[in-house]
Amino acid sequence: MNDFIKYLLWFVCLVLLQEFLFNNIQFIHFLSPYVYIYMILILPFNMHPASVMLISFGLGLSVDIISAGILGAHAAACTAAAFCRNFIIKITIPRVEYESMSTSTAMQIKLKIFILYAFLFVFLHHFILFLLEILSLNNFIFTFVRILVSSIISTVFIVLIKHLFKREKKRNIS
Amino acid sequence: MGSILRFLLRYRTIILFVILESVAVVLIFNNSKYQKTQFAAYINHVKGVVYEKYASIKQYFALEEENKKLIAENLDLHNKLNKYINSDTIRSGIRNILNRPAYTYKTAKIIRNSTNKQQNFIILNIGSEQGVRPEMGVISSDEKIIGMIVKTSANYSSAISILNTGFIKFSGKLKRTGNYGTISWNGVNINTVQLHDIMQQSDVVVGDTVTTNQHSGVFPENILIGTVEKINIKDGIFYEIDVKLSQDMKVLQNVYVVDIHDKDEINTLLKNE
Repeated sequence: MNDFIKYLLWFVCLVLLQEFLFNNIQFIHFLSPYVYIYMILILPFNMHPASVMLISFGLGLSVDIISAGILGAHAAACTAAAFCRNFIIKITIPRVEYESMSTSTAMQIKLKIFILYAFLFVFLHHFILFLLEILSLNNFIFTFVRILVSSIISTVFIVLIKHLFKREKKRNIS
Repeated sequence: MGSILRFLLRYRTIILFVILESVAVVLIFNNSKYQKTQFAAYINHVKGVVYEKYASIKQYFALEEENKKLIAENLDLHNKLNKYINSDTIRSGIRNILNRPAYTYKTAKIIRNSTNKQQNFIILNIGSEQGVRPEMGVISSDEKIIGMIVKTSANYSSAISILNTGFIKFSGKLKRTGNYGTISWNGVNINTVQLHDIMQQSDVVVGDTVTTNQHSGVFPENILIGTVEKINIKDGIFYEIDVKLSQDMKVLQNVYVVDIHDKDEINTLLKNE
């Protein structure tokens, strides 16, 4: 129950932060970071992929509804990324690492591994989302650069959020 | 029955994936229908309230800049007025005032503006209660093109920015020669839009002024769009002309919404033709 409330809070906060903070970041004109998918990254590793997908779909749809873009684009991208989550976990996180952990969420893994895991996931999500947004393969190189740069910035924000939250937790304990 | 159930259970992840993606795709293709619903209008309203608070804080810090602009505008208007007073044009000026104006402006504040997407939108602080309707033009306070209203709620409205790859193509003309073509944005540079459908034999030079023409039904005639920056020769018979926007789309605050009178009447006439 405790966990449920924790994840629900993350869900609501990330959707609101995405709309009212990250959607307003415009220091390079073609850049749009999508940080809300941090939610999908921190779900427990042993959660069933079907549940992960349902949560991701809900998350994407919430962002779709609150932002003025194309309804369904975020939902589609999140679901597809969530579908591939287990595969990404398998190729980035060493088996020993996540089997030995007590609660096995992304909060406990080493920073280097987390960055790789987060970046791959974010890149996949952004790739699908940006292509859905423009619905064409014209100017593909430009779109690809947008995807890559936005993915890097999103990953940076995600790592920062993770770091902040981790420090907060330690302080509470001591 | 049991085997079907076992099958469903075994492949539930993939089945769920297919179902969810199908739902998403259906939503994407029905996007325009959704945007017209009451629910979308409500979300628009809630966002409007939040962004207005945010914008009022931001505007406070931009007051000085805004003041300077107003002073410059005032000066410009004074100069124009003087010209009228000192010449014979005053008579025709009066005649124009006596006639019914073809359009009126409504002042509005931008409470949210994006330039970092391929589909950029602008939210304004006036809505249907103030007489804003979809397909009205949005121009800056010094009469440069910005976008077009697409959705309204009671007190807010959202406009599609000219920096939107989905912007319905509208016509622009070269002021010097009167040739006209369609304007769209290719999504690459926020300072340039593209003018299409100008024949390759036509007389165009870098630096030519591009304005709206009278047939758009959205903007009045001669609203500034920009200046010709580069003339690209494409296969076929048309140029693709890069037009440098006169308006810096990142620094907008006060704008006008253009209400073209008798638009519906003109449209019905056009349809009957």
